[in-house]
Amino acid sequence: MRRDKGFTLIELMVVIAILGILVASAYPTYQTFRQRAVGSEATRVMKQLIQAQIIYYLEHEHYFPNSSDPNPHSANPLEVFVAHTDSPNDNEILLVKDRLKVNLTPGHFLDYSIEYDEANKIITMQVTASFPIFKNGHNGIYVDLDGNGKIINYYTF
Amino acid sequence: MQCKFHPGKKAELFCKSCSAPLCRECAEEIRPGEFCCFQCAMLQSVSQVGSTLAEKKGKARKARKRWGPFQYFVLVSSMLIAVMWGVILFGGQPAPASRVDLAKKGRVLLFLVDGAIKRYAHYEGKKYPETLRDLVPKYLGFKGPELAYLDLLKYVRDPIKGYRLSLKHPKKNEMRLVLTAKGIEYSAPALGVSQ
Repeated sequence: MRRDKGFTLIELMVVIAILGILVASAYPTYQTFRQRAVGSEATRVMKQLIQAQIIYYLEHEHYFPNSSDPNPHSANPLEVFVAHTDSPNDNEILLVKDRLKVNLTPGHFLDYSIEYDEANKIITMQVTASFPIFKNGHNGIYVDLDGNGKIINYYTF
Repeated sequence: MQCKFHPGKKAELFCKSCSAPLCRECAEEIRPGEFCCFQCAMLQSVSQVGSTLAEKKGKARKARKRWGPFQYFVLVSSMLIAVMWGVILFGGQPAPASRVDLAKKGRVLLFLVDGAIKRYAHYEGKKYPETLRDLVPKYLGFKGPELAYLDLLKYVRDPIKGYRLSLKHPKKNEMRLVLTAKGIEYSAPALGVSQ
C-alpha cells in the first residue's frame, strides 16, 4: 500500500526531463514573442512615417526636416535621429509628433532615423533594433521616398 | 467402505476433488461443508495463492492505468512544449520586404551605414567608430559575406565634421554624396572615369 503514495524513479526522471525541455524552450519562445512584437511595431511605425511624410510633402513641398523647418536638436539640421530612450520627453520625439503627427513610442527597443537629401529631394527613413525583428533575421527597415512621394527603396536589412 | 489412507477405518466422507473415500481423520474441510483429502487440499491452497497473486497483479495494472498527477503533468507539459515550438518555428514576424543587393544600390548602402554610425555615436558617448567593422553586429546587422559591402565605402574620421562617408566607386553622372555628422555634402558628378 505504501508504494501507491509516491512516484517511481522513472516517473521522477521523466518529470525532470520534461522540466528541462520546458526551460530550454522558454528562451527561444520569449525571443520569438519579442521579435514579433518589435517587428510588427517597426512595420507599423514605418507605414505611419511614410504616410506622414507624404502628407507633409503635399503641404510644404519638402519632406521633414528641411532647411526652412530644421531639427534644432541635432548637429545635422536635416536629420531626426530618435534614439531609443526611456524618457517620454525626448525633444526629437516631440518634434516628430508636432510636425508629422506620428507618436514614436520611446523605450520600445526601436531606433528611428530620418534624413533628408535636400538636393535630390529624397527622404531616407530607417527603423531599426539591435536584434533580429523579422523571421528572416533582419534588424530593420529602410525606406527612400523621392520628390514625387513615391517609394523608390523599401528593404529590410 | 474403507478410508483410502486408513484401511482399518470406515469411510464417512468423499474428497470433493478426487472422490476418494475418507475417514473423519483424513478429511480436511476446505470450505464449510466441503471436504478434501490432504493431497487435494494442498493443491487447492497452492492454486489459491497463485490466483491471489494474479489478482494483485491485475489490480496493480489497473491502478497504473488510472490517470494520476504524473499522467496529467506529462500531458499538459507535452502540449505546452508543442505550442512553444509551434511559436518558435512559425510565430515570428514576416519581413515586410526583402533584402537588396547593396553592391548595386550604393545610395541605400551609404545611408544604411550612415544611420548605423549615428546610432554608434549616440550609444557610445558621441564617439565615431574607428572602422566600419566596429558597427557590426550591434548597430549594423551584416553577417558573413555581407561584410564585404563595407569595403565599397570610404570612411574617415574628421575633426570638424565628425566623419566623412562616401562611396568608393560612385556611379557616373550621379551627384556625389559625402555624408557627415553635420549633413550631406554634394559635389558634381564624375564625368567618364569613376574614382
